Amino acid sequence: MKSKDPFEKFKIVKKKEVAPDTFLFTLEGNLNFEPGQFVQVMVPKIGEATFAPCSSPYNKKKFELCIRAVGNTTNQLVEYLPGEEMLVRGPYGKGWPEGALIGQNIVIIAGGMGIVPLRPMIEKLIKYQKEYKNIYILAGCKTPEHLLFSKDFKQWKKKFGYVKIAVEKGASGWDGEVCMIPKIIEKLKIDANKTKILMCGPEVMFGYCNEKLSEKKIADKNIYISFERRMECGIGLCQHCNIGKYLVCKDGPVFRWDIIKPELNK
Amino acid sequence: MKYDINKHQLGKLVGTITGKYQTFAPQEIGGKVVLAEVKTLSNLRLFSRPTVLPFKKILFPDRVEFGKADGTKSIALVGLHVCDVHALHIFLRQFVDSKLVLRRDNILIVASECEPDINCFCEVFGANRLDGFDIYLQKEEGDKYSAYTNSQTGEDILDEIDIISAEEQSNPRPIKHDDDDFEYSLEDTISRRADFEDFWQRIANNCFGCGACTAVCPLCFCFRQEYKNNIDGSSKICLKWDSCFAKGFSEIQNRNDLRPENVDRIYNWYHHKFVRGKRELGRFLCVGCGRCIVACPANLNIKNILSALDEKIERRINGGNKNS
Ligand SMILES: Cc1cc2nc3c(=O)[nH]c(=O)nc-3n(C[C@H](O)[C@H](O)[C@H](O)COP(=O)(O)OP(=O)(O)OC[C@H]3O[C@@H](n4cnc5c(N)ncnc54)[C@H](O)[C@@H]3O)c2cc1C
Ligand code: SF4
Ligand code: SF4
Ligand code: FES
Repeated sequence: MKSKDPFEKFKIVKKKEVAPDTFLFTLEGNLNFEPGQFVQVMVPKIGEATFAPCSSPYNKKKFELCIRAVGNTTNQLVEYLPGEEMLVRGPYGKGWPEGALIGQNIVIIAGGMGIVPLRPMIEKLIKYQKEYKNIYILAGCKTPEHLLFSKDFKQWKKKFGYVKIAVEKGASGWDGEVCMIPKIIEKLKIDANKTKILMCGPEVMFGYCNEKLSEKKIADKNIYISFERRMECGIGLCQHCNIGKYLVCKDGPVFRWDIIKPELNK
Repeated sequence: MKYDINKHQLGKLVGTITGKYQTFAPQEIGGKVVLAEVKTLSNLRLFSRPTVLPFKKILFPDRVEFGKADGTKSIALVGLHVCDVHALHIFLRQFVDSKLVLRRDNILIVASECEPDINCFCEVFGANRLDGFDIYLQKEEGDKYSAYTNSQTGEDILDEIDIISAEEQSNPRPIKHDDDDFEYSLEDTISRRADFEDFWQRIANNCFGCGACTAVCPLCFCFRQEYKNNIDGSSKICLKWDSCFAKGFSEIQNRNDLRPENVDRIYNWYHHKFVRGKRELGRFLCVGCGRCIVACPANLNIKNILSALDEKIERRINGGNKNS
C-alpha cells in the first residue's frame, strides 16, 4: 500500500510579469479545481508555497498561477521559465459557495492579491450570470501599476456594469478612485437582504470592510471571506493553519464571517 | 480470556511476539525507561513508569518521507499503559486516511498494568478503561502474571504458550475508579479566550515556550515539512515533528507571525487539545498520562490548570479535599 507521489508535474508554457515582483504563469494540463481552492507548489530543496489557481475553472487544458515573490520559496518560483515544470499537489480546500448565491446580488471585494482566488469565481458567475441579480466588483490596490488583470476588469465592466477600483496612490492617466476600499463600499447602493459578499485580501482590510457592510445592514452570515494561513500539509493533519477550531486547509480557505469571526485571535 | 502464566512463560510470550513482529517495548537504557525496539529481553521493563516518549516516535518517526509510508508492515507495541492505548486509538484516527501511519490492523497492542503516580489523571477522561488492546498483562503475587486477551489475534498468540490455566469469564483489576460521566465545561470555557485572558496570561508569564510538553505528549502530533538534501544533489521531502510553541509555526508571508506572543501559543495548545481536537476527532487530545507535567521546566501542571477551569475535574482530581 505505498501511496503514490502526491506531486504532479505541469509544464510552464507562458510567463508574464503582471505587477512588481508578480508573475502570471500559464501551465499546461488539467488541474480540475473549484474556484477558491488552492494548490501547494514545491521547489525542491527549498520548500512549498500555497497558491490559488486564478484562471477559468472551465479551461481543462491550461491553468494559471499568479505568484508574488515575498520569501524563500516564492523568490525561487518566480525565476522559473517557460519549458520548465512546476511540482503541484492539490487542489485542496473548500472554495466559494454556489447554491447560496442563486437569486442574489453578488458583490466581489478584492484587496491587492485578493483578486487571485476570485478570478475563477468571476468566470463562474459569468457562466451562470442569468441566475443572479446584479454583480458588483470592488477592488483595491496600492498603485495602478499593482492592478492585476486590468484587461479583465474592462471585460467585467462591460458584462456587469459595476466595477469600481480604488488605488491608494494615483498616477498620471488614472481615472479611477484614489482611496481605500471601505470608501467605495460606502457608495454602494444595494438591497441588503438579497446580497452575498465574496471577499479576499490582506486580513487587516476585513474588519474595516465588514464594518461598512454592516452599516449597510448586510448580515455577517452573508459575507464569505477567503483566509490566508501558514500551510504545511494542506490536508488537515499538521495543525499549522488553524483559526480557532477550524482548519483553513480543510474547513476553508473560504469561511462565512459569522462563523469565523468568533474564532479569530484564538 | 484470562491466562495464568509465570515469569518464564511471560518471557516466552514476548519471545513469540518478537519472532512474529518488529516489536517495541519499554526498556531501561541509560537509567531512563524508553520505548525502543526489542533486541534482547534483559532490559525490558514491562511494568514500569511511563516511557519518556510515547508510541508516536515509532509510528511516525521524525523525518519520515512524505507519501512513502509503508502501510503493510506489522509491528507490536508491548507494555503500553492503558492511557497510552487510548491515546494510540485517537492518534490512529487522526491519521487514518493519510497513509502516513500504520493502521490499527497492522499493530499488535499488548498493554500492561501501570502504577498510577502523582502526575497522572487518566480517570478524568476515562482513559483508565481497560479496552482497545489485544493482550493485557497484569502482575500477580510472586512471579505470577495474568494475560487477558481481547481479540482473536491475542488469543492465537497465547495459544502458542503453554499456560498454567485459563478462565473464560474474568476481568482485569480496574485501574483507578471507573466513571461514566465525562461531560465537562472545558470546551466552552476554553473557547471563551477573551473572558479568561488574564488566566492564560498568568500561565504564559511562566511558560518558557520551550515545547517540551508537546514533544512528550502522545497526542501532540503537529508536524512540518522539511527537505533532506543529499550529497548527490537529490532531495526528499520529510515530515518532521513540530511544536506549536516553535517560532514560525503560525507565520505567513512577510514574516507576519499570527501567534507572536507566548500567551497565543499556550492558549492554542489548550485550545487544540480541548476544543479543536474534540471537534475533529470526538475526543479530547489528552489522556492524562502526566508526561507534560514531568517534562515542564517551568513547573506548569496541566492537572492544576484543568482543575482551575472545571469544577468537576477539580473534584475528581482532588476528591473534594480542598479546604473551603
Ligand atoms: C489559501 C492561500 C492562497 C494563496 N494564494 C496565493 C496566490 O495565488 N499567489 C501568491 O502569490 N500567494 C498566495 N498565497 C500566499 C503565499 O502562499 C505565500 O506568500 C507564500 O507561501 C510565501 O512563501 P515563501 O516561502 O516564499 O515565503 P517565506 O516568507 O519564506 O515563508 C512564509 C512564512 O512561513 C514561514 N515558514 C517557512 N517555512 C516554514 C516551515 N517549514 N515551518 C514553519 N514556518 C515556515 C516563514 O518563516 C515565513 O514567515 C496564498 C496563501 C494561502 C494560504
Ligand atoms: S497533555 Fe500532558 S497529560 Fe495530557 S496526554 Fe499530553 S502529555 Fe499526557
Ligand atoms: S514544557 Fe512548560 S515551559 Fe515548555 S512550552 Fe510546555 S508549558 Fe511552556
Ligand atoms: S495545512 Fe496542515 S492542517 Fe492545514
